[in-house]
Amino acid sequence: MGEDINVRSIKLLESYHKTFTGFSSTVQHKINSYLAVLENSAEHAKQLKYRIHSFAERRKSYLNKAKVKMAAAAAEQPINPIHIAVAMKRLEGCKEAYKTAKQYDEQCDEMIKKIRILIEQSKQQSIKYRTEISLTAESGNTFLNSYISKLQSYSGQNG
Amino acid sequence: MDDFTRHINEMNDCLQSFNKNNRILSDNWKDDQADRFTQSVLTKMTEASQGLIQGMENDKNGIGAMIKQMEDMEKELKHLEAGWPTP
Repeated sequence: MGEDINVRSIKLLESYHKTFTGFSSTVQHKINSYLAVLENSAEHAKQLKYRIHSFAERRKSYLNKAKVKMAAAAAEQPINPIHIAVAMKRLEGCKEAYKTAKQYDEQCDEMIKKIRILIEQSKQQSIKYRTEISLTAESGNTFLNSYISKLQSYSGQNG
Repeated sequence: MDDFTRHINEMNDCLQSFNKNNRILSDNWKDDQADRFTQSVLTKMTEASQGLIQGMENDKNGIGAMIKQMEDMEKELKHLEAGWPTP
């Protein structure tokens, strides 16, 4: 009867040991893959920020060109009110567009600062969990191995 | 599905399956060693995994949401640019 219980326990623990090892190794693998997600997110955010900043820079350059054109229209002799009106309208449009693009760019500046901080924090935390899981897995494996050996030796003695 | 959600789902599935196996173990292994193993190993392992999932959820709501906002801003800028004057 005692022997049966031992054999059953050995089988149960050996089978469980596989699950336990599989789980800890899968989680560690997933943490590594998650760290890559964080790296990719940082790069993606950087690219977005770069493109949004380029929008603002382009609008700034358009605004400067519109200012030059406005000055040229104002300096025309004889004065051409239609040219001035067109240049003025374009200048106002370019000012408004630059203002909007600059606002987006500034908002992105704030967001990317926060994103960088959060990503760094999350990386540190994920690494901390990976270490914790690895150490716990090691201790669990030692525990199970030792307990299974003990049961096997009892089983051998009784058999 | 974004990468954050995918990782959260995968971790949840993984933990759910682990907990199921832990319940089977607990139903069939009843001695002081089983209690010791649960307290010193399984509880720690489960708590660390839950902490990890919670961290991923926070990242999804923080990092993921801000990146989404930046993507929307880029789309909106492209849309606005179509109507903006060129010099």
